[in-house]
Amino acid sequence: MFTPSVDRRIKHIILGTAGTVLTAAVVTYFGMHNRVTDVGYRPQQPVPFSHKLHVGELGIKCTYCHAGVERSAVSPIPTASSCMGCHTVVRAESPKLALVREAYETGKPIEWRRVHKLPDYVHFNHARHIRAGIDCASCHGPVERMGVVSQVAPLSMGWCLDCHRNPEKHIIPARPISGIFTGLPEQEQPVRTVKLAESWPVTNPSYGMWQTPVPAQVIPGVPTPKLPGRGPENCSSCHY
Amino acid sequence: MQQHLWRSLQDFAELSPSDPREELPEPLPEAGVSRRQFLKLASLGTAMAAIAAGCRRPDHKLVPAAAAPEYQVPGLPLFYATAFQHKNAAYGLVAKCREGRPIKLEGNERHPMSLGASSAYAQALLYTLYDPDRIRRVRMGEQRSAPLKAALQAIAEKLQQVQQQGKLCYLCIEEHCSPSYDALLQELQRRFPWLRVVVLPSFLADTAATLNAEVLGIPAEFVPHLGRADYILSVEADLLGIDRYAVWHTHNFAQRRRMRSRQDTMNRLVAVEALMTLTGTNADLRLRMHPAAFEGFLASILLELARSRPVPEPVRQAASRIPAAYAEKAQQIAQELLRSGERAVVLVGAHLPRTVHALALAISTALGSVGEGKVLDPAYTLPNSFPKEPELTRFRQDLREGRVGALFFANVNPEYSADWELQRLIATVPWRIALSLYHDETAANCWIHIPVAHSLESWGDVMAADGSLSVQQPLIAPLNEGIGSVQDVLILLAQQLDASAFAGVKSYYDFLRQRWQVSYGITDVQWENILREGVFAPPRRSVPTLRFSAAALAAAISPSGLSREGLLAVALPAYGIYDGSFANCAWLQELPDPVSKLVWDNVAAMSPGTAHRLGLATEDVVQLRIGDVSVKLPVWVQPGMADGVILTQLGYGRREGGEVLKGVGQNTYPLLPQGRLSYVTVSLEPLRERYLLVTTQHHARLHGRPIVRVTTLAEYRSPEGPRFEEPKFPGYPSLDGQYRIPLTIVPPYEYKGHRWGMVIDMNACTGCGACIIACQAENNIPTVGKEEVRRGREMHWIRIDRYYLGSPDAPRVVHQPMLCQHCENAPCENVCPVAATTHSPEGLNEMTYNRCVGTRYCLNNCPYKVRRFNFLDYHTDRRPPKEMLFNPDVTVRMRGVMEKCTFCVQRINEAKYHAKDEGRERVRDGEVLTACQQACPAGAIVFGDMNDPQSKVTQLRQNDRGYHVLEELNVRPSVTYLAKVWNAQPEEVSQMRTA
Repeated sequence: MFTPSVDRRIKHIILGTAGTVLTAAVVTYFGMHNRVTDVGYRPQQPVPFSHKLHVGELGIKCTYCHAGVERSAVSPIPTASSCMGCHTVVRAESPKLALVREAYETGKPIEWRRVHKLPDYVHFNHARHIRAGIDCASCHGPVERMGVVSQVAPLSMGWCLDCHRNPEKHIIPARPISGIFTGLPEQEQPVRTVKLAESWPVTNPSYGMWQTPVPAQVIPGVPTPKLPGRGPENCSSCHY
Repeated sequence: MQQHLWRSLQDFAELSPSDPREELPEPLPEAGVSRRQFLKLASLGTAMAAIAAGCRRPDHKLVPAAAAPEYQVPGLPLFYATAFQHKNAAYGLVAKCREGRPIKLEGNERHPMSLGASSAYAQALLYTLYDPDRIRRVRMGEQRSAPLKAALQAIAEKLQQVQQQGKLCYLCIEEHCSPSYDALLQELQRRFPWLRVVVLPSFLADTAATLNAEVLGIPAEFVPHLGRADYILSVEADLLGIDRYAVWHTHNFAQRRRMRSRQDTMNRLVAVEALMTLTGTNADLRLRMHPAAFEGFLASILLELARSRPVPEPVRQAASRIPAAYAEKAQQIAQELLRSGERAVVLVGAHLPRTVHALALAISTALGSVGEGKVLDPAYTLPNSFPKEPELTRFRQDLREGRVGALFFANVNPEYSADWELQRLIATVPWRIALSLYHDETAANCWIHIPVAHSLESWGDVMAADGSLSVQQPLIAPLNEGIGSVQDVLILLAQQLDASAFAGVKSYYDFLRQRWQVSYGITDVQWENILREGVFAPPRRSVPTLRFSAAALAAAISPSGLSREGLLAVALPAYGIYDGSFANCAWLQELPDPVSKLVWDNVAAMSPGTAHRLGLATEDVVQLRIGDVSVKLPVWVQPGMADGVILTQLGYGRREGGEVLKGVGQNTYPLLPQGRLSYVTVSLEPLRERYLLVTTQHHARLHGRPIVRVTTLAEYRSPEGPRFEEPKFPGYPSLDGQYRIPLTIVPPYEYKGHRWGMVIDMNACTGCGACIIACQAENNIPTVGKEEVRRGREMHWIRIDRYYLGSPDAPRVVHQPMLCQHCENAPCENVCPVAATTHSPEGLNEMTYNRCVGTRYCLNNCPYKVRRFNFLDYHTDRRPPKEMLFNPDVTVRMRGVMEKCTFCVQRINEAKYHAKDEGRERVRDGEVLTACQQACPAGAIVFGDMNDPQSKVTQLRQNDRGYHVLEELNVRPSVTYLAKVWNAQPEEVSQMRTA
């Protein structure tokens, strides 16, 4: 139909387009793959600490152990002495706590394995997000249901900006269990009876879960957190 | 004012309009690996890395403390007051600590000598704290790692032997200003009569103190209060440069020069000098004079002041030796001094002969500027600046007669700095023990070397020039395996020698605390308060009374013996590394000399005339010979120096004590006669060698544009106002903030919230360079080394450009700090293909490192040449504990990434957090201080919100001295410069130009 040269050219164009599409697909697939974004990363910790037990069942608030998170850029990891505050009495002899007792006695700290890690060139500030009324679960997922903590959000820049641009779609408002918001009617609403939304099994994360946020827990009487304030989008808010 | 700016002698030669050639700098030799080879290796490396690494991220550990330290929350800074001794000058500091380690030092606002500012030395203290070259283990003979206990036992045994032999033990200490250290040493000498303490300064400069002792009865150096002076005649006194209290002097000096309106008065600084000192570059009038003429000049001024009153004969004789060319100037200056009366002062460099000091003191006394509340105030004297010579003579005598059985060197390094004779004498002492931070030349020649703690790791106290006291608090446990300070080791040793010594004292802290309780009556509550405030003014302070002796003064005046024949050379402490004690600090090695802009080297600086006469050029190597010692140095032709004079710097040419200092410069201590700072006659012998010198002044030429605006006070005050050179595009002034050329390719943007801006007062800036090091410490800026600076790859985010005006023989100098201007129409932003540099809604020109792919288009398009590219991975020295030096709030940049000044955006963000927490919409004025602003002793840098009409920066922008550099380019910079004003007659400026 065409001359050989045009024919060749068409073939080249078709092949080139196909190649580009294929490359783009591969890059997109693997770029967004869990192995890259680390969603579902769920390392075994040296001490079999269960957030499900402590937070979900016993109702210990996040800030009880991660004290200072409402002031600092980083969320502090509790010291062995914080653990021993209770565990000198509660389950004092448990073999699971051997490492904690050792750390408490010798001063040699426990080396926990880090789950959530941002690159060094990003400056994320916990305190600012908490003070904007954003609940821990917005980024960390329902930790109170996790026996072993896993990463539920990709922590990618796109994910950050999605929320900075449309916070109302993503933010989980304050919940009493976080323990970071004042004026929460704790007595009227015992934390143990707070019903958590139906969620995905944390052991088997799926892709793109950040687009299906956990429904907000609306508790009567709880002040609505600051919703309309959008996060900054300029580069030097986080990169410097 | 018409002006011709030049940056170097080459520039000056090219200024002639008949020669329009635009010379390209010489091509640099190729690096060891060719481009092609590099690409091959790089691609291979990438492939290998991809195969080896896989995709899984590495396992990171989170390690909390086992028990929470009090007050400490990870991620939040804690501030502690501490102190810094720069030899015997004291500065109060505030240290910012994160996770238990100091990461930044600032001046303590409550300290009378710091006033919130700091020097390059104080900033660089942090580098020396985390220096990986510091020694960690006790060395005993051949044993590399001995326990401290064993070493102390061995020392005690030998000391007992020494005592039995009837010999002495000397403890050589550095100059210090700690009253408790003095008390400790006295206690030691009282208990052990065979122990003697001698202050062994690296150079001797006690001429002024000796003279003050004889003439005024005060055995100390004055610390002049420049805030009280209207008129300063400086005879090579480098108060703003190498003086130990330069921070305070700069503050006081600049305070009188920050003109807020045309009605403001300003002081006048007249510099008479043969060298080109930093103080001279800031002078309103600078007279270039051979050192032999100083005494004649000063004596003539004294004669003029005395008028008909009787004058001692030596003064009359000295006055007769004034060169005719200066007679008229001497008269004029004498009249000006008289007009200022007791608010005028004459100050003299420590290296000048006694006669010059005596004449200056006579003039100051005659003017009435000596006394309480005056410029030379007996209440402001340098602690421990007593004449050192008698003690040193006795020390030498004891050594010579073999009476010394053991020697301790506490943070002194005579093997490097002492004269040959003293070194030879020291070598005869059988038992030598070094207590120091580094394995330096002296430690290498000692029997036992005990590593001691850094001043930021140990307790201490310091006394400032006005008598106020500060406590030096440790900020971190000693990094050298827990061994304490010199004082701690001395106490342990004393207890080893005599179990009853220092009963109840476990460490120097106990001694210090007890002494404060006994001497100043400090209770525990007060102590806590002093630790928090950082300053304590003792209630009763005796100011020594002056007992003026005219006879002693007259006796001190005799011919100085400096000769106009031959060459005079002087070695002075370097601006960067001082006497060599900071030689292992790469920050200070790479801090350009404020006058010559040389880095990583010392030179034999001489005037263009001398170089021409000797047939020498910059980079020729010469040998300076004095007696039978000689020093090989490269020549540096320095505009503005007097003919027949050579200036060189001390502190270089160290052989031992770290990786940084090796092979940098030449040791010039042999040029000091008996270790004393002074001019000496040298013979010069050219060698047929060349030596590469590296300076930052040729980098980034600015092609003859009106970068710097200068005027004189008279012109500034005249009704027509200053006649600044117009920008090249008329109709585009922006002093009122209105940009009349709407030429822009970016759409107009309204800054609704903050809009950050800066004002730099060039009349206050003295070019000291504290801002450069402060910025380096705050922003994790690497040093790159001499070879990379030669390629123009220095990484400083703020530099100080030094411009000359006038003839090469006697130029005027302007210092201009240059940093990212955060242009509204930033040319760098438009050319970035990956949008790694963008504009923030608050007017910041932001740089996103993780986006940068390293095209360097932005760097090429920046008219100010303030962008810096990581050509290599410059943070290669990662030996522990160097990583602790990094500021955790700022990204450490990798190879291939562009970087530049961020206006300390991490500090802006933090201030905004505080504002939000207090329910404020805006950050208050003064809440954000950039690192350079905070360090600046002159207060020349002001940062703030330009949208706030009340802010200091907005008000300063309306000053009629304000202008923008290169405003004709329509880039709309956010940094406003205030023009330099010289308190000089217009003819003095024009004379300078044609001279």
